[in-house]
Amino acid sequence: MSEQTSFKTLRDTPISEYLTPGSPLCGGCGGEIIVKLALKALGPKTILVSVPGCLALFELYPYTSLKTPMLFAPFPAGPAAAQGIVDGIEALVSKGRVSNPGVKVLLLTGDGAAYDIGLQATSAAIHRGLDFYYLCYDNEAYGNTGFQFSGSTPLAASTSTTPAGSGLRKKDLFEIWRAHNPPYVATVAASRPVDLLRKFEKAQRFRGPKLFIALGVCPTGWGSDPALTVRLDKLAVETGIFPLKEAVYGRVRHTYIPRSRKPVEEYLRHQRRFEHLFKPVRRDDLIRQIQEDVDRYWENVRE
Amino acid sequence: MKLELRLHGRGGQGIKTAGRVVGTAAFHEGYHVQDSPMYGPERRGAHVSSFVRISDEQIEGRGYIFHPDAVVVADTSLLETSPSPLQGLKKGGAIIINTPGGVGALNGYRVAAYDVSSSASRILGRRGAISAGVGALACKALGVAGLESVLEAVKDEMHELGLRDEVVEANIRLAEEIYRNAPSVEIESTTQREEITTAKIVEIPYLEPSSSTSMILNLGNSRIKRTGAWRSSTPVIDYGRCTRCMICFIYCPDACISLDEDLTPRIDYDNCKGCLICFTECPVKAVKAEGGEVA
Ligand code: SF4
Ligand code: SF4
Ligand code: SF4
Repeated sequence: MSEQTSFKTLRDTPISEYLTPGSPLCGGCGGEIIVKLALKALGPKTILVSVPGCLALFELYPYTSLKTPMLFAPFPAGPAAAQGIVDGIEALVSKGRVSNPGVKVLLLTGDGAAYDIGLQATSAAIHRGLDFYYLCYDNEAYGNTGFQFSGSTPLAASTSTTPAGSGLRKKDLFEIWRAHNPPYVATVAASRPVDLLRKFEKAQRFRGPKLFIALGVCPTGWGSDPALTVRLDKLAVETGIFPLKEAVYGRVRHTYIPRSRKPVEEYLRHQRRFEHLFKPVRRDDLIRQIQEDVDRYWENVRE
Repeated sequence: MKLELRLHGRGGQGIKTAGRVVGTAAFHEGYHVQDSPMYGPERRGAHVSSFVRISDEQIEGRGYIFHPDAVVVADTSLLETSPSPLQGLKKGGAIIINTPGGVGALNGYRVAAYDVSSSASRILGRRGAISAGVGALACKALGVAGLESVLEAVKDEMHELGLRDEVVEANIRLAEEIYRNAPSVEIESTTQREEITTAKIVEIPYLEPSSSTSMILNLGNSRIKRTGAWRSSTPVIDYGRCTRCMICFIYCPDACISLDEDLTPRIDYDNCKGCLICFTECPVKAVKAEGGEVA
């Protein structure tokens, strides 16, 4: 990356913290790391909007783990609520009540809202060119209500509604969003904090929708050891299952290309939701299918 | 017969399943049946309800039951909550209640009381999930199903939940004991109570969102929640080894690690949940994991 950035190494991670201890989220929640880091890059003048989902619980009356304000909106209405805040601020500015507020609006939803329930409103908000940030922490199911299947659940993953493993592939939300041609879309992972910080920094250059998909390693739903959250996140990146990339006005660039991709198995075997691929009998057919999907993806990546 | 039943309990008691047990049992008796839970957040401890309609004719009604012929109250403390589980109960309607003691507060009502929780703690070894017991109590009290249908329903519904065979068996024993010993109750009339038949339009005045919405003004106050009690192992930093690399600070999901000016990491033990990400990620193994208590 030859671009201007104030984040060159881990050491440049801002010390300021906008999350406080004591959230009701599960210990070792990967989504929480993502939000913590994203806020470090966006800074204190950020207003969050959330919809039903685990991370909405940052704010659970009468407590909040955020040092910035958050508005809670109905499930499909996150982008509309974000629009309301953006418009409200604009109205205050035009009435001369505030000048140059420099406020950022960050919509925070899980995959349930991003891939399914709020997709239509997101499409409309991108279409309108709403000047906001959207961060989807993708734990690949409806985690808050008991881990039911969502449009983001990957092939063969067991959820409470697909106990024998899902037969469907994950929707490609990156491409769905990108097809709307917003100024900035990116994927981010907790195990690559510098990449994450840079992307949130870079997004600030653009006016309009700036959209992020983050891998939300979910020990509770995935059946993984909370202590391994960052390890698993790293494995998702190193196996190529979770590609790190960005698209500026539709132009895709991978920000990290794993040179020798680890076999997907190394990622799968640490999670109870994929346990049935290994026992009682090893399901080489399914493991191979998952591997082939990943290989096919990277075959088309040339840089 | 035409009966509308509403069940109330707390999240974790199995009120949805209790409704299903009643519905399935009545179905085995040949009735038309409809049962559904109230949709909402199902947190442990929250007030939850479910609905059952039983009839010898086809059932036309749908949705929530606002004027039940009988209500089931699985937790007496709910009687003090608002809205009350008794809201909308028809005149002459019955209350079926899980309680260890008297039902003084319910004077003037038709009541069938039984201590389901004690039976459950004796037979299942826990007082929590009592769906089979509550379902059996309701069936017996209202006379909507015989023992055989009830036990069959319990078996079906418990298997449906994916419970182990011995747990299903224990629930069947619980249902049988309660069915054999619980009292019955007559529902006298099924007219609606006066006070609720006179519908009234209440005009709700406009309120500023700032006064009609709950707001938290003390940002970052979750610190006082002390999630440290969740911890089963405790990370302890060996400062002799620590290179002040910031990695544990970056990865602690809960922001429980803060840095001194010289980048020395400090753990907030009041809130550290003990996920041990810091222990796994420390590149020089300066974080030790200690079992049990607060360091
Ligand atoms: S269920 Fe998963 S995503 Fe939700 S708080 Fe727990 S670990 Fe995080
Ligand atoms: S154990 Fe988890 S919560 Fe506690 S300090 Fe380490 S990373 Fe933070
Ligand atoms: S990760 Fe280890 S070496 Fe680095 S600051 Fe934390 S305790 Fe010290």
